[in-house]
Amino acid sequence: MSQHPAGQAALLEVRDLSKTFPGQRALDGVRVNISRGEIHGLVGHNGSGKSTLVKILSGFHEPDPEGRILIDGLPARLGSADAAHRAGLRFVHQDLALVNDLPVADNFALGTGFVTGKGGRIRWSRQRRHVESAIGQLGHRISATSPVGSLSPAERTIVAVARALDPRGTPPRMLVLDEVTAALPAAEAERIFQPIRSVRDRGLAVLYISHHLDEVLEICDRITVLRLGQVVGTYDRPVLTRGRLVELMVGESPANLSAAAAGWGRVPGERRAGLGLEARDLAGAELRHLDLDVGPGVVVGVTGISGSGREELASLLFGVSYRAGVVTVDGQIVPPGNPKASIRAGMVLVPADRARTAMFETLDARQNVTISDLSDFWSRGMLSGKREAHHVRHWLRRLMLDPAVAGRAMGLLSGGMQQKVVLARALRLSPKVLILDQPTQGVDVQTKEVIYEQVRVAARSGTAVLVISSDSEDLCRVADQILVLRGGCVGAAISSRDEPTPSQLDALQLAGQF
Amino acid sequence: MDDDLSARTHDWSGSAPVRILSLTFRRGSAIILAVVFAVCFAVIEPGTFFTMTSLQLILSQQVVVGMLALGVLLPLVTGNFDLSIGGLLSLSQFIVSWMSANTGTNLVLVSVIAVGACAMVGWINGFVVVRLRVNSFIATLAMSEILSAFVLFGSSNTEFSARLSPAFISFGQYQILGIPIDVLYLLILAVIAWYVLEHTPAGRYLYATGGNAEAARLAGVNTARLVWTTFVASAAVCGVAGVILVSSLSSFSASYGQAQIFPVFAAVFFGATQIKSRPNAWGTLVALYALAIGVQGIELKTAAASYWVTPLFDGLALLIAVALASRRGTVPFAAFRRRRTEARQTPAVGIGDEPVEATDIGRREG
Repeated sequence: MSQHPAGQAALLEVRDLSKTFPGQRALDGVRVNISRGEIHGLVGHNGSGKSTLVKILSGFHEPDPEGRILIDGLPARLGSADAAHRAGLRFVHQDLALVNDLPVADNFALGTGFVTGKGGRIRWSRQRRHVESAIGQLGHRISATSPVGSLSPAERTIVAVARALDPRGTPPRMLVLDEVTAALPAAEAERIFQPIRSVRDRGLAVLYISHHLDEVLEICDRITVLRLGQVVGTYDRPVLTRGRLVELMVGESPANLSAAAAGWGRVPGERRAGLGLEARDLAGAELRHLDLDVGPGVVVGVTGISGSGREELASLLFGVSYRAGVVTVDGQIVPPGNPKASIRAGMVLVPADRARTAMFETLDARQNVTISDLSDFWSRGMLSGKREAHHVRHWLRRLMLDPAVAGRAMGLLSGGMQQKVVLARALRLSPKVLILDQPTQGVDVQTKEVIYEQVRVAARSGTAVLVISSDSEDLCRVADQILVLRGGCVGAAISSRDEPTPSQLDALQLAGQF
Repeated sequence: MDDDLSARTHDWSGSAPVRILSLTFRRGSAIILAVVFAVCFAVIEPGTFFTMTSLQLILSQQVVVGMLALGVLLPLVTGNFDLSIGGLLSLSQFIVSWMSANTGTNLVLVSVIAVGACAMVGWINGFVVVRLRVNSFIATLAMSEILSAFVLFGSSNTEFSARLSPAFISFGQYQILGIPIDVLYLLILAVIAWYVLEHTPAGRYLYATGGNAEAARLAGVNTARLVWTTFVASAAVCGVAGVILVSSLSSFSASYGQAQIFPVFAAVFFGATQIKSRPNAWGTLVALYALAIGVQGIELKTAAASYWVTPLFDGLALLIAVALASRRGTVPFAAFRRRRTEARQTPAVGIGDEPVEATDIGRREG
């Protein structure tokens, strides 16, 4: 462990910082020192509190009163975005906050204002020179007049960094990069390392937050590890290996699992060939030639960090977008790009992004349940409201919902209730293949249990169930087999007989190889 | 109707009457408006307002606008605008008038050709919106202009009379029990629209598509075909309205169609606040006639100034009705919803792109 790199005083000192949310302590006595002229990594798995820490620094959250934040040795209050800016802290977040339709120069102005002359006239040529020199300081040449949308992802990130460091007004002292490479392909991500190093070499402090451990190990000078709201320690980069870092993050050695982490072929399966869901050579933007089998009555879980291919797996299988590879249900090929055909083949999806892709907030819960198949209620040229109501009541009860919910607008229900309604829509089709993408995101504990129970019931009745989740607990609770995706491929496969724990699964997601 | 409700107040216990009254105000403001106007004008102008002729006039005058409103309702339910209705009405009107005046074709055949031509145009609208992915507002606005050009070219921008057989005229001007027959056509159309929207799976899918098109697609609804069909249906209804218009006006003017767009949308939007809090068939008709009664009454009082009364009245009523409906905190229908910028956690700048998500890929390529 190290407190300071030789000869440099701390720019930002965080002492005993805690943050308590109702019913949850997100940060607990955190101590971190970040110095001028260093790139300081901040790593931690889901729920470690790193995003809470960033939000406190950016003035979004107010910390508990006992903690202190010192900047250059003086106590700082960061209660607002303005205060954080005045203290010299600059942030670039994953979404970059750029407007793609506007040129680079105008995007700069969104953060820092235009260079203006008399009467508020924008001095365009000066603005452009100013912008191009700011970007030039990061070692890149990007025209101030090109629309941001026409730039490569790495160039966009550089524009956002240059804007954040715009010297007009309060001089910047620390740059916080919050998962800026999360959506970048590896080759693109490497293009921003040199600009980040040049920021450090200018004497600024850089706080680098990423879940890509290879990146963190490559460019950070020191690394602070958070686990469950507490600082595990701050380490000099040379003393760390990838395996050691993972162990620090999850509190358990991934080596314990290496025996279980055999290849997919070695996982004992009871499936009969050709039945259930089969995918061969499935590929998309992230996934590369994935083979997947989910037999009838089997629950297969899939996990992986963001960018591993987990996020696109469900839409590729279900045919939301076009894909490479072949997907079959009970041996029948399912055509790509046609959700209706997938449903007809017996495959049903509960999508991850409920608000955008799963629910109709203006329709009532009853209509949300029945939308996929109205044939049971359609006879003699009329939809029978009575039969529909009866049927929906049955399903709502089965999912532990008050039947009175049926008549309420979907948009007015809680997240857990909405998820149950969407689940009911999928289950009532008695699918051969059920795909659940992030089924427990944003739902309460009781709903989680109901969802687990329904997954087991579906599997017992012979449905092939695929649960895709970033929540390792989901998979440990329901899955018979768990696939861990890494870089678009299956990185590890575990059987439920090995009784993996959620923290072991976390370790497997993060570890490259053992 | 107001009297009726207050009379029952004594019989009912609890808050039921209050509830019904508040529901009447919430979902039936147009009915109340119409009744109030009718009573007022009946008191002020007892001799002229409450006559059969005046009533028939109110009913008949709105038939074409009502039909267009019911037609445009279908794409609108899915969240798509059809602004080509004015142009389509002119097209149908022109085909019937021109063919009857310049060729000896059977008028039934002429009508079928007119409706068919309109349906073809609707098919093209659907193609442009669904396949070429042009925003419906832009696509149908452009189509409207193209149709205008076609009709102006064909008619040389002159008014002319259609040569109609007596049978064809009676097709539009016959009366049953004192009700003009074209009003019955409108009612039949309303029944069809109501039936399709409220009592068939197709209607359910239409509202679902309007609520969240991507969710509907993932739930197995063929949203592309559905939206396409609504444009064809809307255009065909415009064709029928054009035929009926010729049978009652029997002369052609190229400017008539385009002038109907705003009254039509006023009725549909006002109607979307009536009976149900979404665009619906009966709400549209109720709103249409509430506006018509108001306008008719005011015109009787201020005959000289009548030309500006209609738009002013339509505009005010629409603003007030939609503002009242939006304020009530109900979940607004997608097409009316103002896009709200979500508060993001980007302290430096408030404007942000959407983070990249798996679904974005689907939207781009799917």
